[in-house]
Amino acid sequence: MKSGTSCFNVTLFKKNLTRYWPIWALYALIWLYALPMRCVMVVSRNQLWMGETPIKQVQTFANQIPDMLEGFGVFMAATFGVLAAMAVFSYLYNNRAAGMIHSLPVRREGLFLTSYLSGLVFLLAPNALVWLLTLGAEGLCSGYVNLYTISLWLAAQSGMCIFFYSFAVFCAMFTGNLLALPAFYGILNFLALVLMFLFDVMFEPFLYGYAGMTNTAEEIVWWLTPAVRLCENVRWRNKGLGYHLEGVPELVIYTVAGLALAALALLVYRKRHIETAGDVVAVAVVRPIFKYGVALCSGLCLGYWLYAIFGVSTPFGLMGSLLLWTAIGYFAAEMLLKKSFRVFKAWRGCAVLLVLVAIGLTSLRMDAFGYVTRIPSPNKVVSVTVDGMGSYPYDEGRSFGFTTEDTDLIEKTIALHRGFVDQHRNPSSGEPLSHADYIRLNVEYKLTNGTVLRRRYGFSVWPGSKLEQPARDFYCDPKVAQLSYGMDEIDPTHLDNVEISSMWNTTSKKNEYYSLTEHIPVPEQQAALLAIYDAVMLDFEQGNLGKRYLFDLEEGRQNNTCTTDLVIYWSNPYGDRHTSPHVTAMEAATSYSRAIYSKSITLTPHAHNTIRVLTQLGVLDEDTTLRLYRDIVDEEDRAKLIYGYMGHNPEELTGITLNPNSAMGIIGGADGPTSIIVAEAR
Amino acid sequence: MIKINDVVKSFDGFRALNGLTMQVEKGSIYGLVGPNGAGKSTILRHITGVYRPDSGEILVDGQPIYENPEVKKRVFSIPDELYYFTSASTRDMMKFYRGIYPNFSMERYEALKEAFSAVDEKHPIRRLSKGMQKQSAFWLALCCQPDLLVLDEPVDGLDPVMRRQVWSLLMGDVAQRGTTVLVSSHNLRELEDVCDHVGILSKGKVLLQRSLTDLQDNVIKMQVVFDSPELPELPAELELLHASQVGRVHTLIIRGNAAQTKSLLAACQPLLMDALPLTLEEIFIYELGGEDYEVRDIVL
Repeated sequence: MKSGTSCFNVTLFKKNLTRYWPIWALYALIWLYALPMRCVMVVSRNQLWMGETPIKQVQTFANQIPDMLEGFGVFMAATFGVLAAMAVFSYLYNNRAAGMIHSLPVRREGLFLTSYLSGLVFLLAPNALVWLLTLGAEGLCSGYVNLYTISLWLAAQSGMCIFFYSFAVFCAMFTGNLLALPAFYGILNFLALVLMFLFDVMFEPFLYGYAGMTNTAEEIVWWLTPAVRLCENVRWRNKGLGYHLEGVPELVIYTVAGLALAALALLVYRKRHIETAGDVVAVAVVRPIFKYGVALCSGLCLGYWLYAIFGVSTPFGLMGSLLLWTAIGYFAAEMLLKKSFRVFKAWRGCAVLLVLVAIGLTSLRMDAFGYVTRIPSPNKVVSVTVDGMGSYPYDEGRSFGFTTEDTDLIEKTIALHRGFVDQHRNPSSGEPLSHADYIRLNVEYKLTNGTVLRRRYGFSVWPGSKLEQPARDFYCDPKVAQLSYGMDEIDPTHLDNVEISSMWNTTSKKNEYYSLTEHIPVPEQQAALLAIYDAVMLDFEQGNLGKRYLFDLEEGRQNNTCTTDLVIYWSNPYGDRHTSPHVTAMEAATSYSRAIYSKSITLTPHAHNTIRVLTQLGVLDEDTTLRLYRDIVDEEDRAKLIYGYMGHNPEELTGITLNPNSAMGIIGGADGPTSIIVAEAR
Repeated sequence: MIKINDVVKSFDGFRALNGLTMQVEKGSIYGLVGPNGAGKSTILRHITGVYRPDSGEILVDGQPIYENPEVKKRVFSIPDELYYFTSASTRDMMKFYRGIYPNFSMERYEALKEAFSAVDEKHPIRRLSKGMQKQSAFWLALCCQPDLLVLDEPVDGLDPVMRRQVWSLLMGDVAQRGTTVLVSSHNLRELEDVCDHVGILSKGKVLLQRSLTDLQDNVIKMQVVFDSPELPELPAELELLHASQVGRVHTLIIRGNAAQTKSLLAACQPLLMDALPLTLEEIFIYELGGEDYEVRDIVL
């Protein structure tokens, strides 16, 4: 009859505590330095140099404690979690130790529970000690004790410790090699995220329009990347209403998940064969998963690396690189499993895997699943979310992102989507060297059946190309322009400034810059800002501003837009930036932590209301005027001809008469000239 | 004490135990012998509850040993490769085992200090010589006062005096407490001195197991001289395991007892006939000879 009495062994527990004391001692020491000792040091130093009262200093210090959870707390829990697991379960990785421990009169449950709890105590006992000593330090330094923040730290840090330690223990059950444990642990902590990234970059060359995983899949990936998720979400923030801890759901869920992983680890341990000590993978059923997983991951990671390093730009180059590294990964995994270099007898498995991968990639390329050609019909789309870049002028409307249920816009989006697919399948010929514009569009359809369809496109479009008409219909649509500018986002009650760039001074022949707050007295600033805002909004309403053009050099764009951009700044006093816990609620309301927003609008000669207000404010006058875009395009073209800008070779430009006394230069980026310098000899 | 029925254990496709069946009587000293790779250490790890068999059962006092702390409390093992906690001294290990094994006797620990006086109980075990480590292991094992002591190559590394002392202590426990000792060793001459039962393993199975007396009675070495130098035709009833010749003296290894063999050989009218008992080593080699173990001519 089996005994069920020994689920915990005190002797073994004590032995673990005494054997591995450096782990918990170091963990405790770091936190003791970070909290109670720092409390004492901060108070004594500030008292000496700044003369602040101890209570004020301890209040400030206590308010900063949960800040330690961000990044540092996660790092401590993740690092010491795996160290503790490596220590207390180290007996599984040595044949002699495994034999001795398992010959003791303790059941597997007892061994597991004793080792698990002793490792957990390595982390939780120091946490409790730090909690106690921090309270003591606060009390001794000032007589003031902030129980809330240090208790919050204790709960959150302990939760993270439970998760990371249990996760490490879970990994420990699947390996028989001590060094493999931290490797598995580290890899599994980031595997989902890395795979998502690799799938994204690898699928793009094979699957035209591939837009990454669905939101749900991405959300799952983030949850499966605990270190990153906790670093990103556990925050001690102040949004003007006092500090609070964000990421509590994550902390609770991961703590519960940690306990569940510990239970699963016990189940694996009960089935584990002790003779697997020394094996990289200790559980038989996991061995093929490990072998093929390593092969595919090395194919994805190193295959893409080789592809990127050597710049093999064709999908088949990428496929070759991927297959090569898949094969290398396969045999490397086999070597680890067999603990031998003589593994090439297993070539059949490798060959089957490579054939499957090649078939998979080729079917992606051939669009065997109809992914590329799948275009929803308008009546099956509930809403569409688009973001992208394209159209002119170069202002707020060039980049856009919005969601709409407008049927007209949905139809135009689908038409553009179809245009992209057609262009991909039957490319237009005769792309000119210049006058081709690159447009980008990310689209996400919410369909009537509740599913989501996402695609990502980027393509050159030029006058006469197949894509021109659907692109023009979409990009130049007034509704798209209105949504792109998003003028209703501006908060007129918190206007900060207006800046105007590239006004043309007819006397000095130079561009001028204007900032309203530098020219108008403070008492009059708000009225002036509001007047400009109202005028701009009126011009938008009347269609005098915000018209979009598909090509930079098309006639409408050149004749109806100016070189001048007007930028409106406004602020949100409790913006969504992360604010430092060092800032009090009063300080948080000051400009230090405000979020500043802006919108730039390219002026047009038809923006009568705006021009009138700017003239009234003295911004525009007889000398300082607006200049049409055509004027600089002419200069730009001349510069292109002289300096071979955009691919022209000046030597090929025969038969063009240029003023021999003029010199011209362009300073600019890919999206247009920043400045044009013209010099003429007198 | 130990009953093993048809135990099978495979490692990565290699069948280390292939339907092994054996029995160890309570209070006996059972010697387990066999060539390298026969499965001796593997079966010992099953008997100490470390390995789980793929099939079959291992009973100690009628109860399965695997995952059974009540039985394992009465079993102590000294493996071939000893394990101690890093930096642990004999005293540290004593404290550990004292907390684990309910029968651990401090009086015995103090009493045995004298027997193992060469071992500094406060010195880290890993810094001791191999022989000292073995002494430390025996010291601790004897203090645990197990009902079953499982030993894998136990005296390997001990000097002859200490070997004798260790065996003396073990036999004292067997006599006084009825301890059962299961010992695996390649030192057959030594086993012959201490074991009362022997089991021979080959290829994961027990070839034979008997008391040493039965074993020695069952195979006999005859030295005979005939008229002619050649070996005459022997009676068909004689099961000849091996024959060799030096000069006119024939050495015959025959399965059967001495009296019966002598009477059968007498029919061949030998000039001289003498029956000699076989050593355990010779029995081991001749029994394994049928198992294609080609060393007999080298040893003899």
